[in-house]
Amino acid sequence: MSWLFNHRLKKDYLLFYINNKQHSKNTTIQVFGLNVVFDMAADLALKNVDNACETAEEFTRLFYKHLDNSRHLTSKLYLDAGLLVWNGNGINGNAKIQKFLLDLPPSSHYVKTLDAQPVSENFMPDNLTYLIQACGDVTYQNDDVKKPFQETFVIVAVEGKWKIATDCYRLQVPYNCS
Amino acid sequence: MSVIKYKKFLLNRVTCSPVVVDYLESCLITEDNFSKYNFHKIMLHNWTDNETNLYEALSTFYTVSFIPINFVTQNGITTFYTSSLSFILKIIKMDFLFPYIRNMCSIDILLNDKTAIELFSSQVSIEEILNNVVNARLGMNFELNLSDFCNDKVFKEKKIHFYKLSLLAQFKILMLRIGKETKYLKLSYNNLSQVPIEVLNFFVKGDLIGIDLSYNNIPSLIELQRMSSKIEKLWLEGNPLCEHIEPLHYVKQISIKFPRLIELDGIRINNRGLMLPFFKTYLITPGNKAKFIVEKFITLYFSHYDSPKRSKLDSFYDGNASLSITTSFPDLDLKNTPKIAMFNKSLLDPINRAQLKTGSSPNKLIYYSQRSVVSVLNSLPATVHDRSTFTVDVLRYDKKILILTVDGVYREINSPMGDRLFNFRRTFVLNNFISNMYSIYHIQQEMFSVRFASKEAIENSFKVPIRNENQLSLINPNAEEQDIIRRVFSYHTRLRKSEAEVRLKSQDWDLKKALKTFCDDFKTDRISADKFSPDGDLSDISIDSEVD
Repeated sequence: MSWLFNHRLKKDYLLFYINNKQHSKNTTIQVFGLNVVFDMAADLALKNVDNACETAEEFTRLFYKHLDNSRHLTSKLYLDAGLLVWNGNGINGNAKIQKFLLDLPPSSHYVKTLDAQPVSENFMPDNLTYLIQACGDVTYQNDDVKKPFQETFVIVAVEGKWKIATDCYRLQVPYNCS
Repeated sequence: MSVIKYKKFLLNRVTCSPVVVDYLESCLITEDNFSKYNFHKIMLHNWTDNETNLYEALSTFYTVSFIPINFVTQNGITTFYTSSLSFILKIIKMDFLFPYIRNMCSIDILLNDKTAIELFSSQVSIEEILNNVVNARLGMNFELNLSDFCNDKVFKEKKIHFYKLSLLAQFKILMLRIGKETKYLKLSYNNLSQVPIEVLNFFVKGDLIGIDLSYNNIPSLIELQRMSSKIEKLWLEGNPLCEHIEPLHYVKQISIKFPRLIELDGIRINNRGLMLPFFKTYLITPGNKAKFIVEKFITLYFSHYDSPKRSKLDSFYDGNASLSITTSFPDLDLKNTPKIAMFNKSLLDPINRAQLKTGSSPNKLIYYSQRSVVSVLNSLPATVHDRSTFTVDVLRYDKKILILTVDGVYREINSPMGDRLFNFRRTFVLNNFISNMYSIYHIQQEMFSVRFASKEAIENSFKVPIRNENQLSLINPNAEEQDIIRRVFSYHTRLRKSEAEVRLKSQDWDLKKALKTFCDDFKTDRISADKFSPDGDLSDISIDSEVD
């Protein structure tokens, strides 16, 4: 009975530890007599999130700057086989995407919230991939009306640069207005 | 009659004589093969209006259909050619005059002025030219493309002013033949302000199942009344009728007029009993399987999310699931801020940025593990989602992974601040593995963004009563439905018919609730024995085993 109790206590402690790691960086834990170095895996996961957040911020800043001011540079931000879903319209290929964006009226995006998560390695073993979700307001053609927009990116690291694999953009306009 | 009389003969009120008229009438009756290769010049003075109005005025007044060729206006004289002898005869009959806006206009005719060889550089009649044009437009899969017909290249080359689509109706042999062979008819960009019934009549006896009337001038749905109800595919976009109509109403009205409709404007229509939304989705490899999975997931997930205890949400999530939430609400005092804001981990918030910079506890930005994800979601207030506001985009679908994004509106209920509406976007990354021949999908990652619903969103949501698909309750059941539910209830509870009915009525025919109250009452012994049906009475129950 007491063995069970101890076992449960240790297991909970372990979970607690990993979820709330705040201070020490290198500690080994005893589980069933094995010295397991749990911290490295946890550390890596945390670092990954860290990187995701930093990358997300920088990338979105660059992306919206191009989208608002220099659309002719946007094709470089997408993969050659990138996909843009713009309010339900699908556009394949970075050249076509850039052409599509150039046809849109001038825009001014203001990002209010930003979220990022690294995508698990099981899905994309070859390239580091992040999932980013940005929400905010956009005004078109110097109109005063601010429309809410949401955009979700899947970005991959290719040859040292971040490129968008898929981009899903929607203006939050109900059916009979779109 | 191989010799043509009256070559280049100027025919007008003065020169016209019964001899000429007789000659022309005999040409018409005998239908000799030469008249169609001879063209007569129609001349008017001082026609200041445009050419189409001239054609319309002439064809209406003389009740004749003709195809003008080589229209020219020069030095105040307007001329064009026609091979139609019946037209000529009618002009003669009406004394070479016709009325137009309070004026009488006079016509002069130059009979047999030119031959087909002179006009078209080969011996062809209008009918033959038309045959070629229409045949060229008949494509594979029985598709006849009459889009922008009047501006066909051949017409422009030969200066034929085929000024409106309905002129096709006079070429009966051609139309009858082609009508039998066509399944899909494309009539877009033809400036039609009505459905061309005279033309469509030729297709009615055939197998016509698809019509494209897009980018015309059809003003309202009433114009579609006389169309065949066999139609399965219809295109109406780009018409004025689409402008001031609500999409759901548009789809509904059209589905009523065309009961066999499968596709409207290129989008498949959902013909299930429930008013399921018109998903605007995009798939890289559109496949029915993917659509089925996505629809199933959305239906199940959100009906579980809306149920009072969010009880089974954990079965949707993988053990190692992760969730991050971002919210964007204006600065309100603590009491008015929605509860979900406490989970906000937007990277742009000043507190979070500071944390990022010092490198401390970035893991708090994401909730890991199925347990913590589900506990976060369970701690949020109860909600009702309006599926008709959903738009779903599928970003990736392959053997390992399914990424989809859902945008929509939900309402928080039973909250101290009253019912409030929110706009949300949730991105789900689902993993997929196969076990025992079943494909199992679990949510591996989720990103949830939310803000207050915009005014437009509020005005356009929750218009229809929301049906939670997890409920086992009837809404206003009729007698037959009531009977079925009552029998099921009696079967499980062994209650008498009358008692079963009383209980079901008090719970508004919600089977789950009625069973629950029954269980509670039964456990506390509040039901008297006479309310149950006697053991020997199996007749009522045996039939119920088929009803489920």
